[in-house]
Amino acid sequence: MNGVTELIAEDARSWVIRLQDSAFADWEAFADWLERDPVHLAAYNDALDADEAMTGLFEHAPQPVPAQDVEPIEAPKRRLYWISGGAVAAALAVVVGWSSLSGPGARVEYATAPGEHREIALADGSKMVLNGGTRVALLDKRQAELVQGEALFEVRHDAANPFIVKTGDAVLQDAGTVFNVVRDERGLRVAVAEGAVIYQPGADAVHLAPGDALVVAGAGKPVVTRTVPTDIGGWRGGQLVYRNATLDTVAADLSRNLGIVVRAGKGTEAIPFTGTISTQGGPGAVIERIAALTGTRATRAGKGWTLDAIDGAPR
Amino acid sequence: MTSTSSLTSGLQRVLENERPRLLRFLAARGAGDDAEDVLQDLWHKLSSAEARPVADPVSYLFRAAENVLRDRQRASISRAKRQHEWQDLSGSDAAPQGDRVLIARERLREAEATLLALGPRVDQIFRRYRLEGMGQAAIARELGVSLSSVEKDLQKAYRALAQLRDKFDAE
Repeated sequence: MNGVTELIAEDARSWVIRLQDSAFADWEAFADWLERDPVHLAAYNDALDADEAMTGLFEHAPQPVPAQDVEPIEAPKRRLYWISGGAVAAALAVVVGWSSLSGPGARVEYATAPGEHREIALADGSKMVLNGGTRVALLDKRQAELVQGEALFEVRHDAANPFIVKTGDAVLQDAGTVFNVVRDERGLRVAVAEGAVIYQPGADAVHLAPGDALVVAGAGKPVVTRTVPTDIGGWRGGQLVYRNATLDTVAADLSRNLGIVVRAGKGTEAIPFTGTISTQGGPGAVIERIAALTGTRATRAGKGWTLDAIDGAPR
Repeated sequence: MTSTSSLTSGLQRVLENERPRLLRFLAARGAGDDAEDVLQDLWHKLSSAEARPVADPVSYLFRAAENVLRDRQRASISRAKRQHEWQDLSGSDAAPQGDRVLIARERLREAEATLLALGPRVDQIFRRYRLEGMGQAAIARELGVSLSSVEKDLQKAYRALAQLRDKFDAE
């Protein structure tokens, strides 16, 4: 049709494909190709239309979910599109956990080493994604316990049988949801990407909506702040996103993601961090990046790294 | 610490520096008289955007320009389409809602079958890349195949889906 040969159509599709990679940087070459022949633009637009139409089919795929008495939920769109590369060797398929028979149901534990990511598909279509240094126990089909570390839960909602995540003495109940939970020595952090979560259902219940982040430090009271829903769980794609985070928190997250010990040194308490850190390119490169971004100096400490404030050199 | 405002104006400075290249790109991309407007939109987006460090600011701006342009083109197409449908109202009516769901479901099934017919790896790579947004390099690492195999598989998948789209359009 109108001068677009199959060869040109093929080239156009190649460009559509290449541009979709977040690592794409060859914009000059793309412009060169477009300028070479006016037919190229038509071919590119046509390839783009085809791509959007066909991908739309997948994205709005009718979900095989039993009828619910709530308003229809849009098929969750994965926003990983913008997240670069993804050094995540998400070990799909069969995950071998170890099970110990305690209580009525079989308790199955899943653990990851620091620096490892693992995705666990549950029987009901829900999914748990474990960050590094994490232990999660599945108590039954709709109940999990985050023993330690960080996990993202993508839960198939069932109002009659809500999904429950226990951690420490806190209980989180889903209300149709994608949410991220961190449990470490500094306390509990919960962030909701889609749907809603109820923290401590009961008298002290706190309802969390998309973009809400709840922090409980030690035995303190829960504090709710706002975050950007699409940033939640970014660690899966190798991105850590912060707004006014303490370096302490950043260091703990890096330790989990990189599999090396990172500590925030003295004098860094007052440095708030806002920004995005890519966890790709090897621990050394990441440490260098974070030091530059936060205006700290990274020094080797034993097997790990310490980030120290640079005295007298405010940035 | 870099402050919010300095980060934002940093990207705006890059935009100013790159203006000629961005305009050339937008012209090649069919923006026509809208090229300046696209950059203006982009400028405003940068000032209202959440500040965050960007790894490759130039590439980031090209991508953002591409996205702004696409949004504008999409909006003008749907405007034209609405007008068209308005004129068509008296004539043949669109399929009822229920039928449309059935058609979409049937087409999805066909698209899935088409991908699977190309082999499980092509299907998996397409889903990882296009639906989950994983990068080609990461997919190559995960599956232990070369980058060019990933590229070839994606070509196969996109080609087959484009052919299927042409078939749907003809129905």
